[in-house]
Amino acid sequence: MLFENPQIEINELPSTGALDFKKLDPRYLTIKIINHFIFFTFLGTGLVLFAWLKDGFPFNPIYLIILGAWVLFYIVSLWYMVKAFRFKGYALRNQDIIYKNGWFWSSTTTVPFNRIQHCELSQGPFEKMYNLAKLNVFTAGGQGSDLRLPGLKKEEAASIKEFLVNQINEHSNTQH
Amino acid sequence: MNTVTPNTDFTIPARQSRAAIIIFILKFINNTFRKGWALLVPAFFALRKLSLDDWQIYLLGAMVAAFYIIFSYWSYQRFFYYIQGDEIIIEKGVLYKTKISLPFDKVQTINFKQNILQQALGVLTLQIDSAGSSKEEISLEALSENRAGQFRDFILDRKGMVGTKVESQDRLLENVTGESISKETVEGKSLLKLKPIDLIKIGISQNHLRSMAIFAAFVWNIYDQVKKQLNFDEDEKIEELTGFIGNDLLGRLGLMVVIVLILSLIVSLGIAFFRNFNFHLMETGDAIKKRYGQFERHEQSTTLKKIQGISWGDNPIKKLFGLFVFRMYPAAGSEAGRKKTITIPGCYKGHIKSVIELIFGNQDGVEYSRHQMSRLFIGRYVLFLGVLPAIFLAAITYILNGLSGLFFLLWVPVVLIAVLIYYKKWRLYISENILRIQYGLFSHQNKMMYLHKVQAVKLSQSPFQKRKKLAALELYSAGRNFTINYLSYELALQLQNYILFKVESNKESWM
Repeated sequence: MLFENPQIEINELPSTGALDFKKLDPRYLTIKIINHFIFFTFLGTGLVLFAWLKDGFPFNPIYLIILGAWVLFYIVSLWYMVKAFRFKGYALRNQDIIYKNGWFWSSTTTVPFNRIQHCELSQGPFEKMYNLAKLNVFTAGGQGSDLRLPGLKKEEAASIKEFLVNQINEHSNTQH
Repeated sequence: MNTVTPNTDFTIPARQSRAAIIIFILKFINNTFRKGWALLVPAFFALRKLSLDDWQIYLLGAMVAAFYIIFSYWSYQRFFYYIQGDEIIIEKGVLYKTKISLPFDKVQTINFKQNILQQALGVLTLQIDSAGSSKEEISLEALSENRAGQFRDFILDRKGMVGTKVESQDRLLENVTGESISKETVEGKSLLKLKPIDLIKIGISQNHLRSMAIFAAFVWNIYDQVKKQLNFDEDEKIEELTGFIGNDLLGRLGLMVVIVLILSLIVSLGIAFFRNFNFHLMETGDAIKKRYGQFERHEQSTTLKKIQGISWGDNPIKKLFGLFVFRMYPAAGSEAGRKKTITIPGCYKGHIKSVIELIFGNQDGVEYSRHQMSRLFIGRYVLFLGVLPAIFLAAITYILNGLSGLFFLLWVPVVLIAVLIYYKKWRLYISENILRIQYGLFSHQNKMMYLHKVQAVKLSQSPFQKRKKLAALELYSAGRNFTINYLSYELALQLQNYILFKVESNKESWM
């Protein structure tokens, strides 16, 4: 017995263990790959420039080793990102919203509707191009508990947001 | 409560009192020094190198002053507050325009503050706390006293006063600087008063490392100043000073440790005494109030409902006195959070019991189920904190210094003992409504919260935990987060589901 004095049957509680998670839009992966590429190229170019300005050609082997490690890191993190992408997903239940993330290190964050403070949509430049959006759900629990749901179609994100806003209003009317 | 007079229409965007310009100027100057001192110091030296004429310096000064005045005037011009529909709106910003909108039902408390300058100018700060992030907090720093009162009444009127504790009602002009100009507030039921003997105990049992650091910084500062002033040749003098002790290093070190210990004890005692003088904790209906201070009188209060969690604990010296430190975490935006924590520097078991009873109800008959971390925690932590670092250090020193490097391997049994103690002490207690965690290494620490005050739950697994069917739970609350690691996956999932059930089926407000 895990809880000594349950008024309800613990095993009959709705569980997040066996849920159908909706996957993120695959175009969001493309955006992630672009961002990842830009980030690594930017820093990699910086490193090459630094080595060149300092020593000129040919490069000091130390820089070559660092650059090699950089490229390796780029490839490995890209591989992990692509692999991990299909583990990201979200689910809406009657009372809460759930976001699942991660492949090796995985986590599931659940925010009950009656604890949402407000929510908003955001769009980066690439997301605008693909007509995608990110839904941010804020609670009073601080940064860690805020749910950020990326890779949604703009219309889908807007309709989830509207649904959540309705839920918030309903709860703030019944509470106190 | 005053009724809203018809000629105060808050739906029209209004500026603050003109005194805002002066307050803004001082605020900007203050900000420049606080945020920009790292730039100001080199700029100052660069200016000195230029060796300017007097008139150039005056011109520069005048330009800087003009800049501040213009910027402040502009800020005043661009700052509007008004009410639109169900929201309080603030528009501000010269270069970056921002618009804050705060719905009435998010308003938690409305406070007034007034410092000496504001007193002289006849204005005050009206501060509106919301449940959300600090971005949503509103602070109007220069409202005329009259207007501020009307604005507050207007908001409370429109809000219908639902769930609001009108903290500021009786103490309209209580300010942070300690100069109380309020009517005397109603005294509540006393929960705890600290007597001088308690303060001495608190001082002795404090964490001396902190006072040592303060003390060291202080001494270093003075030493540096003196050295600069007197052109002090440090090596020679130190030799002179320490010559009588002899040259043996251990003796010198020992003496220094003793001196620092005694001095930091004195510093700790002093801090404990002056910080907590007249410490008084009381209950006023549905709120808890803490009052303390020698030269300045400080006051901190929160409604019981707003408290999201509590913690208490001792340390080996405190245990001798039977003393505990007790903390309460009221709901707060993440940044303001630390400031709002209500700390009771010392109290005894009976006090803890009565405060718990006040917040969580009588716990005597309540049944708690007891849970432990998985035993695999021991191996994991010994490996990562003990074995791996020890092998690494031992290997390096072995290569550099030979066999003496093997001493590092003694680190492993030390870590093993520590991890075993921690494992033994760690307990999770769950009742129908409450969760409590007990932990500690040299001390005994406790954390406690209502399950329904959780804001969000995160269940996570590392690759190792996945293999061994373990999981970690992070419970986010508006006061303080609770992390529970190395539970069996099954238990973690059940606990998560149970907490979500508790949160979602609870119709009570969490603050």
